[in-house]
Amino acid sequence: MEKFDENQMDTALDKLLKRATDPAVPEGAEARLMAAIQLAEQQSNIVKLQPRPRIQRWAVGLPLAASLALGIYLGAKGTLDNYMPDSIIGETLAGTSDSEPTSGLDDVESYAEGELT
Amino acid sequence: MPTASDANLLLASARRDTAAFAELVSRYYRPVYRMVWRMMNGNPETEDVAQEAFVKLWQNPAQIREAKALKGWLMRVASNLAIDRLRRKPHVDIDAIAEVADPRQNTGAELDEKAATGRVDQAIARLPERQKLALTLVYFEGMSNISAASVMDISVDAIESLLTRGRRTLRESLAEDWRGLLDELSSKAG
Repeated sequence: MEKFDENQMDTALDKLLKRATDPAVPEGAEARLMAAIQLAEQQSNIVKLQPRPRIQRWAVGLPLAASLALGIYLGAKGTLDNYMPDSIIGETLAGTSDSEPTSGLDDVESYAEGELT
Repeated sequence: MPTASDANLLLASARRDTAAFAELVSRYYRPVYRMVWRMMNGNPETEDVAQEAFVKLWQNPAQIREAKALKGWLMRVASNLAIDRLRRKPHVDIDAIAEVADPRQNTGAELDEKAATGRVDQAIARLPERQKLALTLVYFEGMSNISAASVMDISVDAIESLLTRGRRTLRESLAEDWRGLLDELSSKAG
């Protein structure tokens, strides 16, 4: 192909490109577009409920995790026991309450011994 | 509204004037459709993509700051949509392009011409998308290198480079057709 110069090759390529298809716009395409526009306009008149903006997961998760860790630490150390109601800190089970109900076993035992003697 | 400027039509469109927008559509739909057709290799979804570009314009006409940039804006939006669509559905039957493409009915002696057209379309379809877009904007839509560079958001040097590479690729893939034409030109010159 060396016998042809660049200009000839460019001219030939330009001629070839002119053979490419010139696509015709489908019939009614513009009307369909305008119908879509009308539809979009009608839809835009509907007030949409806006979803609340999403809070980043870490923004919620981090304080919760910190709070949980602090709670576990203070709970284990017993620092907060004075501020807690008895039913939560287990005063009853610890045997420090005057209202502790008696089991009644001692009485039964002594009664049984009395019976034997 | 045949004499209204693009600027006035855009302003009216921003006030939701559908008649004004219809005039813009009649001015720019055809070049946008042709460019999308070329980028999508004659894919039947061409109309959807061209339509989507205009719907985006309708939704916010005020985003076009200068009316003279309207065609370039439409071309850019439509080409991006076309490329996105193709990337999502890349399996385009390039060999079927000639069948989909040419609505003209060719018969008899025109068969050779039709076959040549098909080969040119297929060669263009096989170009990398940026080369194809540059070639489409400049050769088929008659845009200047500066305007085409603006559409593609690249420098003029870059678009010239794309055009050169695109032409070289086409020369290689159309070697047979091209040689015949060169011989024909050469014999006419002689």
